[in-house]
Amino acid sequence: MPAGRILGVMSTAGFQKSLLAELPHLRRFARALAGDAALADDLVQDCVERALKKQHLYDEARPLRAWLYAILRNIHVSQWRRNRHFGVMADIDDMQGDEPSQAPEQEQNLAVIVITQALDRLPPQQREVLVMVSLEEMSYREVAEMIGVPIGTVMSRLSRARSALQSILEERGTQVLRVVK
Amino acid sequence: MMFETVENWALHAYVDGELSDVEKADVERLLQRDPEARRMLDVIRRQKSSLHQAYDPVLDETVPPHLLAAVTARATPILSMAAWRNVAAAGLVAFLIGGGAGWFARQPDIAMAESLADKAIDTYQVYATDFGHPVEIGANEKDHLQHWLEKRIGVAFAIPDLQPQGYGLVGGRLLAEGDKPAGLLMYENASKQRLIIYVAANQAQNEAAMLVKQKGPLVTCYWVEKDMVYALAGEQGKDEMLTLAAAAHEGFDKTG
Repeated sequence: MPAGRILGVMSTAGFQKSLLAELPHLRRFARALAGDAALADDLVQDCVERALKKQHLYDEARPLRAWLYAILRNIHVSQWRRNRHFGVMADIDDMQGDEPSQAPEQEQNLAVIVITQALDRLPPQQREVLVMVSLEEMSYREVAEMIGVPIGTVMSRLSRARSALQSILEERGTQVLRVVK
Repeated sequence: MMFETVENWALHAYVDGELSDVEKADVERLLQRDPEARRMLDVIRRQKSSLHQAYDPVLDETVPPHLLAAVTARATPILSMAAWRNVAAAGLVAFLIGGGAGWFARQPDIAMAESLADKAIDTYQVYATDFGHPVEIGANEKDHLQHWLEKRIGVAFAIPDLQPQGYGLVGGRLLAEGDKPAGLLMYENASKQRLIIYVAANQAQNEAAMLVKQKGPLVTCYWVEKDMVYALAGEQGKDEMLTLAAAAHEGFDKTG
């Protein structure tokens, strides 16, 4: 067997191991971007499949997580762009009267439900920046590179996201927030 | 908008760890004299902690088996035909979800991994069916069990905690693998369903990754690491075994 091929197989085994280790973080990132648990895991699955197909494009000198996040985020963006044309956003409003759709097996207190529903009302461009910075602790530069905009745009989306989130939370009842704080 | 001033951008950058020490000192002075700035800082921090509170539990959820399978199932196409023939020759054709493949590093590992699977299955059949004396050292002496097995096998490892998956440790025992020591760890769930992990040193020092094999009702998942090899065996379904295998893999790794 040519040596190159053996190396290829080995690095794939290593790559898959690294992918396995990233699954929990990919799931959290996807859940925060998409809201719905099942949709989020679909995103993770698409991301993993695409990562395995494009493994040859991965530069091992760079962190795997950032590369995977970029893939997952691109899939997510192309989905919400597509959905905008088909009016899927309207369905989400219809669903809001129902029980919260995410992770029914997981015990969710009121604060968690309030924040996840508030997040659902942010424009997607603001939501992703907020999630990347506030939850995933990415730097402004990393976010700018991942979504392909200048750092100034990242900062203004972030500040608008935080303002909007706060308005939504206040509008939904400061009482609730005061109780759970 | 309440956040759209230069000072306010500095507050965001302050919370997000984007400022130099000099800039941080500036913001801290602003915070001292401006109650509104303090209020906003509090809002940003509270949002941040709410997001973590809402989404961090996802990190501890069990990863659904179909996602584990999505990672492992694609190994097949990159295997060369020569490697495939070896796989077929070794009789390792019945792997993973829907007849996919496991992962392999090099040819010698396949034979080694195959014998590992057989040993795990044999061990399960002999010991897991024994309800009188299934183990030599019980879970109440877990530390002793770990030190003893580590010392005899010659590899440092932690005994995986499978409690989150519903399996408590029953205990373990020393086994013979040829003239070398190997170890058995036994687990049991609430409905007395058992699971064993067979552990041994990796004599060949060749790495492969995880393989899955089914023999009748028995499923075995085995890992070939650089220093050690281990195999889970039990009559759980493939999905549950994959989840348990991933948890065990992580559990062993924790020693570093």
